[in-house]
Amino acid sequence: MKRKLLFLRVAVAVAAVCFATADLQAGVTGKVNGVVRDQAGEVLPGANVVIKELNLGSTADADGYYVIINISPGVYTLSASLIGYETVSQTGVQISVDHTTTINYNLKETALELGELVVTAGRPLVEPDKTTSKYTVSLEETERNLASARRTSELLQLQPGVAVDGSNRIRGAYVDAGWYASDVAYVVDGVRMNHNDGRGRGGRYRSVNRGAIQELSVLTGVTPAEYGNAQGGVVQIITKEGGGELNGWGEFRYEPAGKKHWGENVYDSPQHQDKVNWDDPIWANEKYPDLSGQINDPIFEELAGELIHVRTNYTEWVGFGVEGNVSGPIGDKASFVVTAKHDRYAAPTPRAERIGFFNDRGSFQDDPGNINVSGSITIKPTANLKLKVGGMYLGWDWYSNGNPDLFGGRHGSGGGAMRRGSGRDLFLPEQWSAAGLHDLREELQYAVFTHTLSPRTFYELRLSHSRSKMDTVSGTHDVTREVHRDQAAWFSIGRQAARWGQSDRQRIGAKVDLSSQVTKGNFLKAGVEYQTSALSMIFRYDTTPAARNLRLIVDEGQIGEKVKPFFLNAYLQDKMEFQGMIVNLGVRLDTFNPNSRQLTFGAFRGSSMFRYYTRARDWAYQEGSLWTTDAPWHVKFSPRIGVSHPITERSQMRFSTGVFLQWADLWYYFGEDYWTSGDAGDRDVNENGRIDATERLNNFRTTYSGQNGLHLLQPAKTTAFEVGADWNFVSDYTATLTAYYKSEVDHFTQYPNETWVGPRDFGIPYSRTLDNGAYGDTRGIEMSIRKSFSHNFSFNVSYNYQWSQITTGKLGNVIRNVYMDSLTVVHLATTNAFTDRGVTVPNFWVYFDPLPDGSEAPRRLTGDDLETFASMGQRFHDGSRKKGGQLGTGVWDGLRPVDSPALADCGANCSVKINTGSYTTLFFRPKSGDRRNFGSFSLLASFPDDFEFGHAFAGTVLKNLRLNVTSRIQTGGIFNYSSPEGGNAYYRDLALDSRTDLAIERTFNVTGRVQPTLFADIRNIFNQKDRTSPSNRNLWTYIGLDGPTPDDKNYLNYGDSRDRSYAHTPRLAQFGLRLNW
Amino acid sequence: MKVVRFAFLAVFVLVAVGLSDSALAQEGRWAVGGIADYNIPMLRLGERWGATGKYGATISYVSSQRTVIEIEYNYSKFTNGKPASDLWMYAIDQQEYQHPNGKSEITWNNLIVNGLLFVGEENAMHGFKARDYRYYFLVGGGLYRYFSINSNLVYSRQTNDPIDLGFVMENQIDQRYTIGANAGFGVEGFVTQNLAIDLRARYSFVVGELRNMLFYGLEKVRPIHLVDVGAQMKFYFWR
Repeated sequence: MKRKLLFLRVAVAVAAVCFATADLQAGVTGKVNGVVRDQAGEVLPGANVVIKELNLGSTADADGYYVIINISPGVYTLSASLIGYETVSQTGVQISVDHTTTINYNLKETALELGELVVTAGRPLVEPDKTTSKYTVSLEETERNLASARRTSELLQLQPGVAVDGSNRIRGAYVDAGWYASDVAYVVDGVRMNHNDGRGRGGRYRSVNRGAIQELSVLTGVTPAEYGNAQGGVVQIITKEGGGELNGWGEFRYEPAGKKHWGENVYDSPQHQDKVNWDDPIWANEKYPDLSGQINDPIFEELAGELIHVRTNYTEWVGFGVEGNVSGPIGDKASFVVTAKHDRYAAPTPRAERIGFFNDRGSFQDDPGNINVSGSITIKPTANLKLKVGGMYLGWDWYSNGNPDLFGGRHGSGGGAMRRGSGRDLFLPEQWSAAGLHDLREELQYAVFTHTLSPRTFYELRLSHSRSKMDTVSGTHDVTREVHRDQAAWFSIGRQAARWGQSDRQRIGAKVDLSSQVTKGNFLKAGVEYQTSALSMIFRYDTTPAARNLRLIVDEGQIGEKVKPFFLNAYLQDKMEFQGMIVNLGVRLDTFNPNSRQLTFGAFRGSSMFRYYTRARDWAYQEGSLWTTDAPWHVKFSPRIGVSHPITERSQMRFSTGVFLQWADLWYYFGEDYWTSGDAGDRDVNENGRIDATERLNNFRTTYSGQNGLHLLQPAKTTAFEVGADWNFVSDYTATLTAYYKSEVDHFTQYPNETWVGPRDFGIPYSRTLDNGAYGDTRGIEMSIRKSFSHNFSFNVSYNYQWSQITTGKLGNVIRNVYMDSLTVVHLATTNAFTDRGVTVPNFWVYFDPLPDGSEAPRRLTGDDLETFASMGQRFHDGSRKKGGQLGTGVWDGLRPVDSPALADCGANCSVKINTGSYTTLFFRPKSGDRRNFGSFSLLASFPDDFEFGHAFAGTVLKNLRLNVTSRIQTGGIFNYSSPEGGNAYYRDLALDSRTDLAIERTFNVTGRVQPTLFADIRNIFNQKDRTSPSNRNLWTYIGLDGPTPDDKNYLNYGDSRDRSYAHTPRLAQFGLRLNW
Repeated sequence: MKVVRFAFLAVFVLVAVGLSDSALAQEGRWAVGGIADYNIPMLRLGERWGATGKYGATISYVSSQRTVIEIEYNYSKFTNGKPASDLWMYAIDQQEYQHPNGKSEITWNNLIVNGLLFVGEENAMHGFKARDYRYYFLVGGGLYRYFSINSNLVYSRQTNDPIDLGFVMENQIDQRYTIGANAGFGVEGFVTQNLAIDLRARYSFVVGELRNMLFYGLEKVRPIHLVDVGAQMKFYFWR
């Protein structure tokens, strides 16, 4: 029998690996199982086990075994009964997502009908079925931390493996890096919130209001196969469902006035070098000149004649925030939850707006109109059906701060005088930006339909729609102009900047998951997901009057046309339970189709044919073009396996490994990056004296150092291993220790230079695309010691020690060149590719002729031109074989032909050829943002209404009091140290920083319907001041100098100009009132 | 620093006042004590400073026959540290100099909670009698406060020739309220049934950092390790 069972398990496992299909989204329920016995230890078939709150149950089988699946996370009462036996109810049974809670019963035989025996179950301190690292914050823990955790992200930061710097990086993973955007997935009710389709910074939708959270988990290790495109980890949020009564809480926070930064008041800052001179009547009374003729903005008409140097009392601004939620029933079979949050906190320094909010990374966003709402309705028409419909919305406005590229740029800021700030932009107008006001909106709607087919089988259908929009709603200038300054030529007084954008990114997803407890030892889960997107983006950013830039995501060059890529993913996983050992086996299939036609290689953008935006738009994408292809399907499998086994009743060990694939941000598949040379404006091609629609943007050419999309880009690949153990070493104290290693290959690098070395007219003919040319590894130890809440206190210590490094060096990651010999040039220039708009287009051309509508048509090469370019092509082609020698350590893979029907009848030696090579050295460098050590400590003490201790006075003071102490610490960032004594540079880290917060709250009227709580939340209570970015990193390391050198002239004359540059803000307090009902 | 010391002592006294009137059961006795230790900096911290005295006070609560919970405040100060006291070479004239008014100190003010575990059935039954003793293992942790300052250090990267020994850098301060842990062992000997002398040795681990100063051959100190050995005079309240 055992052999048969083993065979069955192996067969299921093999099937999982061989036939699986996969997904992006995730499970949202847990299960409970156990065995019902009598007091003599004999099993009791037929016993009924019921979850009282859900009216969900199961009957014990012949072995006394019962299982209840598809349980939403929460705390329940589980009752076991059988005629002739006393009913036993376990209260406080905690159900967590993807976790099996085991509750065994020993029923007492009785001849009489007795009252039920009630036993309180504690949350399991060690979860024997945990095969990978997962840390869970329950509803109760969230509610105990409301005073100390202002945002959901602050709850996350206290979990092991999660960076404490606010970035929420997990185990060295990337967050907001341009090419990944984020390799941590934020999943709410099984639906992914954040999408990597906004060039790194566009898809930051990770905010769920605290009041919406039923359970929050962070998976830092080898996540199950149902999670995809999340090589860094997963943050899983299950939202609440309304209960039988109307309840919720509302919170008001008040932040008093005060200086919220280190150093001098910004108006007296040393950085102004005594240029602020209120005692000088000329300076103090200097008025705006009439700039309306130079800045196309009506505000400058109003400002003319107004004082320039006006001091604001920003340290006297107060702020507040409100957040609330309500949940309750809608009739017998439905319930609702609504949450909302709106902040009006004061800007820490003068900004475009005085009021704003702190985003999920803790950065201040100056927008008084921010709003973050969510809601859901859950309908349970029968015991077997459930429908949950939810939605979220986050909206804010943003004055351009001078960053030339909302989506992450590499062109230098050139951003002076963009909007009011604390430096030389101090006196710019409020509610104004040289680049206007951006309106940003993030929304998500979803529906989850759950149908329980049998006590052991259910399926879920998820439909979702999300949208990220950005639009510049004012200040869309055509031309960037120079900065205007005051008479002392120090402070900016205004400019106009052509930096505007519009992006619309929509995704529609559908997913089906089937879960079944197929045998006692096999819980099988399979799912298929389809997601399609519709993306468009146009962003114009001119850093100076002479540097105009254009970024696009459009279909085949047509502005207004969206690209529509799609993903089709599937997974199969089997959670096998066998005599205490748990094996989680799964496999994913990730497929991606960019669903667009693109230039086949980035290097083709450097050719004369397609170097300009309008020329590529008009002549690249036709069927028959040698130079463009339909994007291929990308199909990838990734297996996962996790094993756990109990060591004792209070400890377990686990091992897991898996392969994770991560698609780059979709910009790197579709993006186009252009600029103009000098101050070249649009060309009047047809010389009709105006710029026609077809002529607009016709002087924008491929950016040399920009970043263009390429549909050949493969996903990055990470193979992760971890081994860990949980040990409940005494009472309710539990230690977790995990060692992990992540091998990272095919990761992204912003090279290579894609260079057209075929015949050309002029200029440097290269562009850049992303490439899978980086590799690295991350290894570390993650540990935590937790004490569950009991005896009025709990604590949690988390610590990570890790190395995270990366390098480039793969062949082809730096250079990819294209060559054509003379034979090929002649063949392609004299054969036709297609005909469009009456123009017969050859396969290769260099020059264009104007058309009457202002567009340009390819001109066929003839005579001397043909001879010139054929000769040029041959020369480059012959020289290409020497490239290896020219590029030092480079390795070249030789000339590889490009396949194309256009070359079929050209002869054996006729081909467009690609030569790839690399010259990077193989030194590993720390990943950007890596910290070697980081950790947190949190202590919660909470005293009930009946608390008695010591003096009557002491007891009274402590009753209904809750106290949270939270401390975060991390070592400094990594830098390349060069000793002043000389010698090789090597990596060291900068100064450690830490912050300790204290929150105290007291609840009144605890037995009443409405319970008010007063609280104080004090950040950086010890006023810790850490200079994590010393003025000179080398001297800081060498002689301990963190400020300017003592002989620095500016320092001697004015003081430390970086007097505000410390890791944390000074001690700040918020006071508030929360009403629970 | 005085404020810190005062604040820590205030917490300490408040706890004492709040607790001292509790109803004392058989295993609920309270004690107050004074400690005097020899505080030895270890590893990289030991490269900067030598050992010094450590003083403090404790409040103890006998939570069971085998365990005592102890709240401890202690203070110590290391002076005349290496950056300020050692000779160093000026690159311009290749001569060795000392910082004329250099000062390098680190001050500690710690508030910690210790658990004393009296191991062994027979050992645990001892104590609370004159001339009796019992031994224990100790584990604790809490809030550690350090304040390290290097002041009046001559700017060694100056280009003056001859050197200007008055050309000093601003104070270099590494200070933090942080967490730490300690573990050790000791023996508690009773002079009378209420008065005990507690001898202990323990190792302390503090999450913190002192900046590197490679010019002086000093690597970053992180974390901070200390060992202290010393005695405590403990007075148990009558029941």
